[in-house]
Amino acid sequence: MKVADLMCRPVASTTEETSVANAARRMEENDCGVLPVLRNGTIVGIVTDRDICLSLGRLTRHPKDILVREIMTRDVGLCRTDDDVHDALATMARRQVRRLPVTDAGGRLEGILSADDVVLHAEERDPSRVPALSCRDALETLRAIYGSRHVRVATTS
Amino acid sequence: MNDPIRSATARDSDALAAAAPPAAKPEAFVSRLEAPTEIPISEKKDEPTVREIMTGDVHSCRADRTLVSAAASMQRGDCRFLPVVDGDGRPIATITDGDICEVGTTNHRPLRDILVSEAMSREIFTCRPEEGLSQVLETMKRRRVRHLPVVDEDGRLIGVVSLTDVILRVEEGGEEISAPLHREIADVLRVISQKERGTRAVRVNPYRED
Repeated sequence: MKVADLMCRPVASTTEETSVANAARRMEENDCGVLPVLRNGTIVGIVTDRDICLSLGRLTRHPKDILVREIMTRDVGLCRTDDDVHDALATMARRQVRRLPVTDAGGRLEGILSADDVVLHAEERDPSRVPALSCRDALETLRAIYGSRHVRVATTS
Repeated sequence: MNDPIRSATARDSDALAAAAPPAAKPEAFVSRLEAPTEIPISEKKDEPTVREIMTGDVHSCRADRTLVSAAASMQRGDCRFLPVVDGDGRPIATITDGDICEVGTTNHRPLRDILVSEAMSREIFTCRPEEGLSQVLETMKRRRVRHLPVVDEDGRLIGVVSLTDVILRVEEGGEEISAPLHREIADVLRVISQKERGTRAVRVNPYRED
């Protein structure tokens, strides 16, 4: 099973020079909690509603005066549309993230792969055959993602 | 400030749970998507209880504190969810980092001038430490929540149990328990994601630049 079979698309994105006020609005409009950050079509970071929440608590400026580039995570785990889902799950587990931006072979943003969607899809497989993606594999990934969250100290730039 | 709740028993019972492998009773764990009825605790003696999987050392906040203090608690606790408690330590509401992000970016006032009571969700569902995993998953599914504050017999906060806690512990009961629970976990994720996609309100953003 390929990443393209499970990813969500289209995907909303933002830029480094966008204010967090507008990034948050884009999240609301698109009903998501994460936005890949693009520069000339290339992914240079990722920003989440949690990043915005913590930045507003830490910084005294107005949300329209805080830029996405100040709070985004620059080291982003990616996967490709034609990757096997298991490889993407391994990346999620290694990086301990629930969501991965998906690109085409040329690096263009195509979608987002979420661990929750993977679990849902695994559940929907026909249980009478060996599934292309087992529930066990998906939940194993969630365990790896969350396994050390309870002890990890949250880091912010 | 925040009120860290301590519960020494939350993790101490891990060894007990591991030492007593549950007997096979797979029929007791079928998905109850269509029949959300109360599951008698007595039928679920073999599976882990909330007390064994919950986080007992949790951060909480008060409704009259500011969002700055709530955000700081979330950062310190590395959590996305805080129970809001009254003066007696009873949960009265909940607040998430998503709530703070939304209110903080759609309000002219800075976080230090916004109270938790302005951003919190007053709809609150709790569970008891003696409930089993199936019962908790059923509550999460019915109420469409990922987190449940755990309360004692007086209604006071003693911990939080999350869907993540269930996922992290579900394998430990062995295949006969974990297989049906996998299905229930997926059921919970499904109804929660439907809620997240269906009910989120788009508010007017005064900082709109375009």
